[in-house]
Amino acid sequence: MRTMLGKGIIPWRKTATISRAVVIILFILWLEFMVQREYLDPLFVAPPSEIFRMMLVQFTNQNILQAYGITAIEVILGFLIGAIPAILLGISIGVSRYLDKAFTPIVLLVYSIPKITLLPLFILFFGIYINSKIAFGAAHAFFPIILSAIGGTKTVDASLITAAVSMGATRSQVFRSVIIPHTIYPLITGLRLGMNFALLGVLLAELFVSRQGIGYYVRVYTSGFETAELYAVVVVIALIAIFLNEVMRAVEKRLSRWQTG
Amino acid sequence: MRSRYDPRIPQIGAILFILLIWYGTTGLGWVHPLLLPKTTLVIRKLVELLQVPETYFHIGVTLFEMTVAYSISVFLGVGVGFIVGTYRYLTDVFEPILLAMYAVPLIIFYPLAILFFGFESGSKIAYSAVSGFLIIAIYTIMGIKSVSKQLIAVSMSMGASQRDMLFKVLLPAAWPIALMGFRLAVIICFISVVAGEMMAATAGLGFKIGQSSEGFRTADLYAYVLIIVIIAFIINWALRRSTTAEVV
Repeated sequence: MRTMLGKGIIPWRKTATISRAVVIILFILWLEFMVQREYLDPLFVAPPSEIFRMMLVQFTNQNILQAYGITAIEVILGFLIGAIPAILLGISIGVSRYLDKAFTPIVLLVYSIPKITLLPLFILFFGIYINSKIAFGAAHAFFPIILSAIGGTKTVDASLITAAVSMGATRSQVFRSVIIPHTIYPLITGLRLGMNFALLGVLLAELFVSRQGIGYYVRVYTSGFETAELYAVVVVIALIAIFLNEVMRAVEKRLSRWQTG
Repeated sequence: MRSRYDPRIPQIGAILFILLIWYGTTGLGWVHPLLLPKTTLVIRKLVELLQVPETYFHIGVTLFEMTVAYSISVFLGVGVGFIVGTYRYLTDVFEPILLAMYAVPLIIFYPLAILFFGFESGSKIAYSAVSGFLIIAIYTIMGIKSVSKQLIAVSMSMGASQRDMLFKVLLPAAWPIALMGFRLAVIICFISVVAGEMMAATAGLGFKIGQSSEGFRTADLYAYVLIIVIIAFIINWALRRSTTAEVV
């Protein structure tokens, strides 16, 4: 192994990936062992084998699948409703220095209010069904996206704009060919965070009060001490979140490639 | 110049504007009082609450949970972040795991925290400490990664001992970025504690918010939200004060 590494047959990066997989597998095996031997209370921790079995069972359960679907719709709608005004407002604020000075502090001020405290108000205004979840998800998605849109627009090099204008670019051309390509990379980062936050917002709202969606099942399983069912749902949500995040990160990398040259 | 661009003017203007709309619409009876109670009623409720010792008990519980959680997250976050950050291979192995965990909405683990630690402070502290830990560990690693290779090479060639390397090169150079993590974690810990209390608790500000909302005591609800917002602003303000003072 050592000589193989030394000669560089397995590249550095790959061994890190292998080690990472080993660490995760060891952790799962350790958990299995601890629960089987009852070092950890099976009432509180389900063994990974049982969680996996339960995941397969849940994937054939119509109600659970429907709950995932509802949550997915809430997240997507919340994300869109938060993202579109955030991008438009963010770019408009970012292009003008005066608007930036005037409004960015307000955005930051509102951003620093812990949104979770406003959750009961969202429920009062939008009801306990799907609307309040979408609204809360949108409120969560809005802020990282508007901040990144403002930040991204601001970082456009002024000399690039001057150059484009002096070469006869119209306002809309400057916008399309200079501002947008430069804004897109920080914006994608903001969209990625916004997606994570929308998911967080929707789950928070569902966990707080709900009749449907996956958060509802999390609550039901918790109060019923159905540990394996609970862990299965939690693990699936976590995997979905990780997957979404990785996809967005890949997009991020791809879109920023032209800038590194 | 300064007065025109003073950021406080639009800020105060925005707050006054919102208060005016609130005052106007409720005063004219355009909004159902159960949704949005009268401004004066909420302010009276707030003053009332601030005179009752019980309120300070709940504030105390929340701040206590937050402080304990933050201390744990600093301790573990710096420890893990430092060990993982200093060894290149460990960074390659563990940093993606930490980043992936950071993308997961940790609130879904909160029910598990309740199973383990019960309805009282334990579950809030655990949930909040994990949230804070991730941020601090990630920023500590980022900070150490940001230390320039040249700086390390130069100090090694000039014969810095292991200890000097650690305390005089790595830590000071990693500090500015790590500090950002420390700052973020304070707010994250506060928010997570309140979120945890709202989900299930026996005391704390979040618990009072949940209780008032279940009982449809909207004026109380708004008053508690205001208390939390005020605390969050104070924390933000104090952080900005303290950190700029240190950096400058």
